[in-house]
Amino acid sequence: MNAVEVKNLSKIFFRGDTEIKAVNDISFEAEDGEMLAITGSSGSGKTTLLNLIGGIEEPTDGEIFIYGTDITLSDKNELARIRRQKIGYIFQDFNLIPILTVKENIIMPLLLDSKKANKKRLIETVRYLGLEDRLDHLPSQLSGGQKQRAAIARAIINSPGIILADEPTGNLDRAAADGIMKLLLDLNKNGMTVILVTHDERYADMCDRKISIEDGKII
Amino acid sequence: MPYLYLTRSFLRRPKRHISLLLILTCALVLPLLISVYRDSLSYGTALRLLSETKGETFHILNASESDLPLFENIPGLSAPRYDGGTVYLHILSENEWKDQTALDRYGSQILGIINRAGEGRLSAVAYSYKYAKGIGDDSSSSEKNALLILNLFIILLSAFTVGSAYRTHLKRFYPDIFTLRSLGAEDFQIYLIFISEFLAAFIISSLAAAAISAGVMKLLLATYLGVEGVEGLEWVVFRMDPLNTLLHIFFFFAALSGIIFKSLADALSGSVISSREEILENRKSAPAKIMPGRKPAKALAEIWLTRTNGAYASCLKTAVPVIALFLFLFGYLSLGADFLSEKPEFEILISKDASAYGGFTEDDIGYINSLSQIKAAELQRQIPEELFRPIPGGTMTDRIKIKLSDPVLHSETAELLKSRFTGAGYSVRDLQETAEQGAKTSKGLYMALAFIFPTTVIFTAIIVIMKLRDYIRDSGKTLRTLSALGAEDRALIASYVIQAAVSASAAAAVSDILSLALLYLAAIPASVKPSLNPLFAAVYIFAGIFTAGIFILPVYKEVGNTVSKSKRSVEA
Repeated sequence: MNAVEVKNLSKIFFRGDTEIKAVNDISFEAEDGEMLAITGSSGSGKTTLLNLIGGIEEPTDGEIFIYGTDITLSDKNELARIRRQKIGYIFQDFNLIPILTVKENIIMPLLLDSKKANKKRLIETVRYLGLEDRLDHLPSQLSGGQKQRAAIARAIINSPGIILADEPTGNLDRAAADGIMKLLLDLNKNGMTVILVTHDERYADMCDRKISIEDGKII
Repeated sequence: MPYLYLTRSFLRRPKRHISLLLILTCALVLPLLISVYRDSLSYGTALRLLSETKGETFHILNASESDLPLFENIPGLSAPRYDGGTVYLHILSENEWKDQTALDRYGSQILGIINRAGEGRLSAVAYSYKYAKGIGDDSSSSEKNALLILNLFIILLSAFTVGSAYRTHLKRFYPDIFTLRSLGAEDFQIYLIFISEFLAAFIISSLAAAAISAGVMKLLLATYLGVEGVEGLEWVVFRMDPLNTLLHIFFFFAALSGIIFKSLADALSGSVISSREEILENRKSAPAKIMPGRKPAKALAEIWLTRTNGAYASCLKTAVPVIALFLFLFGYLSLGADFLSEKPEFEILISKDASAYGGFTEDDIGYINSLSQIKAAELQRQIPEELFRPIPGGTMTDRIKIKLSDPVLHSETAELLKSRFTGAGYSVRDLQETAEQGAKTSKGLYMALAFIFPTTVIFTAIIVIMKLRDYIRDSGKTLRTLSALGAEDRALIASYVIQAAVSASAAAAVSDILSLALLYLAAIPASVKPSLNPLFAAVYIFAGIFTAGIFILPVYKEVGNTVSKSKRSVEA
């Protein structure tokens, strides 16, 4: 079964009278448990494509199936539920909420789903990511690598089937970036579907498959 | 989740929430201050009227207890009541009392009884229902209505200004909103966070503003503005009507909540979230003409003015109406204060109902001339008196205006004259006392302005500083890039200061013009010409300096900080 399937997807932005085709008639799929890399130069439309798959942005045209459900037909609340339960998001800028501690950031998806934090699951996750002694720290007190590991912990706390990672190594030094990549490969080995947006060919080559985008089209 | 987010946000970013609290409190203080003054005016009017009318329709003056039987068993009237030289009666049916024709009919009946009895010493006055019940007449309610309309206008202006500040406040949370949405937060959960925050801030601010307004007004009335027991002046006695206060707060809430919901809906709409960088950059497509060889600060300032001036436009929309309103209030209240503090030409006025009792006698005039403290006395005979009392027919009055050799002697002379000229249509008024009360009120008006000014300052300054600091922070990347390209710190700071100075000048000029235009318009009905005295000029200059300060100083400081920070990071 495909975890993600995209059919004839387009996203057009307008700046004044100018039409910008950020995503132009793209179709592809990612099988359940697959690790797929999306590569391309800056401004090629990679992040927009990921935001469309995550339901953060609405497509102009086309269909997006998440485990067989066409999310382009879903209303806002249904999309929010899918993001909470089936998708984990990882950003280049970490997007940790600065006023919340690491622990509070990690359990935020559970709180949004009105679930109590499962202590065992939380401990397993933070131990797996090496954040045990950072739980009560604020994001500003963490290194870049630690911030990204906290973001990964937040992405997987709800055990989603799909991880959408948007340049997760982009703001990190080499050693920290390698560590994050290893974690993503590990998650994939444990059965999660990972869609990784990157412009680093070295990391793209570590994935099961890669697609390249230029000017909003697969090349 | 909303509770966790809000408490953490309040504990770790208190400045953001305290700014909102302060803005809301300041926005509510002025309308509530006016509301309390209006309540105090109503209450004072009621007390004055009740003290004057004793709640009765007819007062038979110069009466004795033996006159009571004359007024007994008049159909439709109460049994007569005697107290201190006056017999009191009232119309039993409230509907009849409210009817002017019925009041005139009963008035004629009373005058008929007095005439038939041949009691020349007796005279009667009648009071309308509104007077006797302390409600007041059309002139006092029109003053109250004018205050209400002014207040509603101030509330709408405040709501509009707070709404603009709220959008800036909300913009600071856009990154968190984006993250929460990407984690699967539903719209209602995000609405819940910000509506809870707004409601909590609004409730706290309302309570604080009500307490501040009540406290300040009580103090002002106790020391300067309060009037009670003074003849010839409107009484103002402290009163805060809870229902009126609540209605004002509710009106402000209703006006503001629409703007808040719209701001929240915009923040949650995909377009704002996905194009947040565009909003922060606030770019315009029209390029500025950059002339080679110009001074860098000037060239850069031109670019900022043509491409990133949105924050200043928003600041102008906030600052201009608020500063103009304050300057208008200052000018308008100054006019009132000038009028109230005018020294009277004569200290005492004695009048006599010439129609009913004949004018002043030679004895009267002789007595006045015999008093050593009287420097001059001016007799005016047969002045038509405009009746505020709806007794049938008109009356003519004789007046003697008295100038004292020393105005300090006004109280004791007035007392002396009151003991000599009592009853038989005489009335003695201490004009000096009224003028002194007026001078006190005039001081009180300036004290009220001295309180309103810092409130306005805090209100405007917080909003403008908040907007401009955000603008400079959003320009951080540009500043760092220019610094890396070799721009001198001085040139960078100067370029932003020039941009701020242009808006500050515009704000000061437009507020001055707007307030003066409003003042001249408001002075037309009173046929008064505002005089531009030194105090007036000083306040306008001070407001200009203040406007320049709130526009330029935060920009100067923030650009300096950003430039030095970028230097430190490069050195590191």
